[in-house]
Amino acid sequence: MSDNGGRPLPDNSENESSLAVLVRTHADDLYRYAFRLAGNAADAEDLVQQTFVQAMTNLASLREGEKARSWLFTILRNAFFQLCRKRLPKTLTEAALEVEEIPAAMAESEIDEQLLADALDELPDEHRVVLVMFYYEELSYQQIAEQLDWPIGTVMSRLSRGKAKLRAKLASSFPEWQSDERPQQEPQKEANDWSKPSRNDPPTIVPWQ
Amino acid sequence: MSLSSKQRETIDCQRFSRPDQSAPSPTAAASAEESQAASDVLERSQQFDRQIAKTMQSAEPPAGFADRMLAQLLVEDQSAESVSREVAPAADAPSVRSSRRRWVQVAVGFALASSAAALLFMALRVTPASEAEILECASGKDGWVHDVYQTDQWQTDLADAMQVRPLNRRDLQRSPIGWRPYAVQWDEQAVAYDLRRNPFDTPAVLFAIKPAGQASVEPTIPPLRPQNQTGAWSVAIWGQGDMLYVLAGKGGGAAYRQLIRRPEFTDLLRELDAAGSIAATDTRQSQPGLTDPNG
Repeated sequence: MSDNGGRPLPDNSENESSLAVLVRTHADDLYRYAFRLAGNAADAEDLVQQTFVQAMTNLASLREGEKARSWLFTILRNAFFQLCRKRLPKTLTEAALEVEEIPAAMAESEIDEQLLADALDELPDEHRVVLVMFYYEELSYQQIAEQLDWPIGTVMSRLSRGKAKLRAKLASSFPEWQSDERPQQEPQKEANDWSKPSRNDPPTIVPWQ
Repeated sequence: MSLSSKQRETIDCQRFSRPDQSAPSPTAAASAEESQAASDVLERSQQFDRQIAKTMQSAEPPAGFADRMLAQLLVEDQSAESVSREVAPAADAPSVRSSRRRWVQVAVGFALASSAAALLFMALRVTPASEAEILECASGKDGWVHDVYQTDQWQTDLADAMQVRPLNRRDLQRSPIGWRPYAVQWDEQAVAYDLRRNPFDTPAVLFAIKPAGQASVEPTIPPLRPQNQTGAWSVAIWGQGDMLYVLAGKGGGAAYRQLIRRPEFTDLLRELDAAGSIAATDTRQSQPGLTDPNG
């Protein structure tokens, strides 16, 4: 896709072909990303469609073609945040497996696809989004902080907590992985309210450029 | 080894895929022994992170996902475009048409009062011979509907089909899941769109035909009732511009109505305006036709 200098694309046919390039290049990638965020295929498809509809409307604002992937991911993430506001709170586990408690056998094992999906699904949205950005997009914690406009300390904390919970959930499916020392805690309700940011954890939605 | 939460955060924020130069070192400011222990934890953590990332990045999208997404976006785009095209001329020439529009609005009021009747009045305007011919070809003994599902070789790249023989998404409640070239006597490049929701769903197909010369088919929206119910199939015909559409769904009228999108008020107004003489028509004469489009 050519850089259009921020001007509207000259005619609809060019716009359409740019869209076709975007869709063909990124649809599958976006689906995977959306699936990991949303946890189910239906929401993932909706998110991808919303993303492209937004992209189609704002295609002229994409100034650098090589940033298309990141741009689309940001649109999708914002759509996901909207979805989060509508979703009912889930019952979550607070169990954590700290980084020094990872059994050697667990570190070497392949992770089952469904097990990972279930584990992600039981994480709070603000932890899951950070983990998906870390694992799927392979972003550093600084990049995550920039993109979400969250303080670096918040991202580090959520990344670490999210990983600990994810490890605990994965380990719970394999008794041989579980550490005897690991404390088991009671499940609790997720305070999944993105509309009420706390002072320390502002869940600000990043307006995409 | 037990770590502080700060140390854990430091290890957990290390990127597994490539070194993160700007990240704080988990082994800095530690004794040699502690440093070695932290390195071991980091190595194990990153090994596990790579396993998670590998699985996370491996989710498979449904087959043909990109093509289906593109087709949906194109039809959305075309719908928006066609709406703006239809609205624009009315805004450009208000003085010429204002009195007529008022008159049409009166007609609309009457038509809405007997809405079902008015809509049915607008049903098919194909000449009897061509209507019968098309319906026969579509749903006759060896008609298209029987032939089109003989093979399951449907193509999923809907964008290609949409460019050759477009369809209007606003007319249908479903998006096609596939298509195949389907040459008919009026159009060698006609396309059959598969409207099933999945390969095991009840057959439903839309034939998009571009006949040589201007299609003389009205209405420009799917009729509320199928024009023909032969055997197990319900078939309806409508035209838009130079395109002719033949919708065939297995099942009766109820099944047919689940395929089409019912016209909105703007469509009704447009239809009435296009019909022109509808309000001048002797309603006493038109009434029988309103109740039975097949009669």
